[in-house]
Amino acid sequence: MPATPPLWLAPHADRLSIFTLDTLTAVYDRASGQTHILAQPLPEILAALRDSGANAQAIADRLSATFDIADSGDLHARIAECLNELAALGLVERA
Amino acid sequence: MSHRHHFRVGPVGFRVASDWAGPIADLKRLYADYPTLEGCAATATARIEAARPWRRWVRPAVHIGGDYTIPDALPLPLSQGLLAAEMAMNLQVALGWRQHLLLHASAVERDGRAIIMVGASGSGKSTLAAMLGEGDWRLLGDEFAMLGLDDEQLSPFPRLISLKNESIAAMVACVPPERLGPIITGTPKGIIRHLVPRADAIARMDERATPALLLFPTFGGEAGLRPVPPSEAFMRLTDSSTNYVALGEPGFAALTRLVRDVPAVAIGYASSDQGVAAVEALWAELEA
Repeated sequence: MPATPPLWLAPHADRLSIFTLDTLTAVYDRASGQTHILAQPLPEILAALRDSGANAQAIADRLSATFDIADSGDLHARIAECLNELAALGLVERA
Repeated sequence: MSHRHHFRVGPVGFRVASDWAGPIADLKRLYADYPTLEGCAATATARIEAARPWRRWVRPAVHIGGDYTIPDALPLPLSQGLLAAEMAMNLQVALGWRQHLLLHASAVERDGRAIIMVGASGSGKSTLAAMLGEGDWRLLGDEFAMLGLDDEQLSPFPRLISLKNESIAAMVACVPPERLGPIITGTPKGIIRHLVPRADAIARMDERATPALLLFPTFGGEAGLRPVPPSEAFMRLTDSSTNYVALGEPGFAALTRLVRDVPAVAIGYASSDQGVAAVEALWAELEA
């Protein structure tokens, strides 16, 4: 039986203060007091998780519905990589 | 400690105490035109004290003290007592101040609008500010730019300007001797001589200014200018702030507002005159 893809959760909207600088976005995490500078598509992934948790495939679907994303077959893997980066910053976690 | 002086620089009330008379006499002369604390409590207490009790007399060595200290800092010789006092005052503000976002920067003002100059030691930000402050600009500060947390206004903090090495001769030539401190040699940064800001900078130290330009100068670099995107300005300013982390979200909000609202430019210049000309040209363009 294939393993169930992990479900990812974003913090409650009240926890983060997000400010788009230019191509980079500054995020202040009220829980840790840390400031993070995020490059695309990390802020977009964070936003895609805002309303409910999702796995990488569902996030890819949500992003594709909003943005014109070229999927050369590795979109799912790229998003999984980004989720790991966000997790390392403490900005998302596995359910 | 028997030798003391207290005075106010912008929002900061300093009380400085010393084991020796010399550094306090220098402070009293150089800060003579600054207001007193007028019966208010000091907001920063700085001490310069003997590294060991006997070192008050034997090869006097000055240790920096106060509310905040650097435990591993090497003591300075007494001949650098004024520098030690200035460093002690800086340290109290750098580590203790919470009412503003502190940027390690110099700043000048004209018509209520300010240029904030940010750079590492040696970038020329002090010399540029000192030269502009002798011209049509009012010096707001040489060491820290104090940004309001709620209102995006810059509070002047016109401490003594710390001139170093080559920049000393240029300034000595154009200011009266009573505005200059003693020549301090053999410091970690070479020769240092303090300059009292012009009278208008001291008299108007409570008059705030609106930031209008963020400048990242590089002395000795190739002449030219480059627009700095908000993200780069944000990162460089968090690096140059001594209290950004301590302030938490209000610091984040103040800094994001600043880089959103104020244009940022990096300039390279080969001489101070070229730097001043570049700043004036940029300002004229901004005003146009």
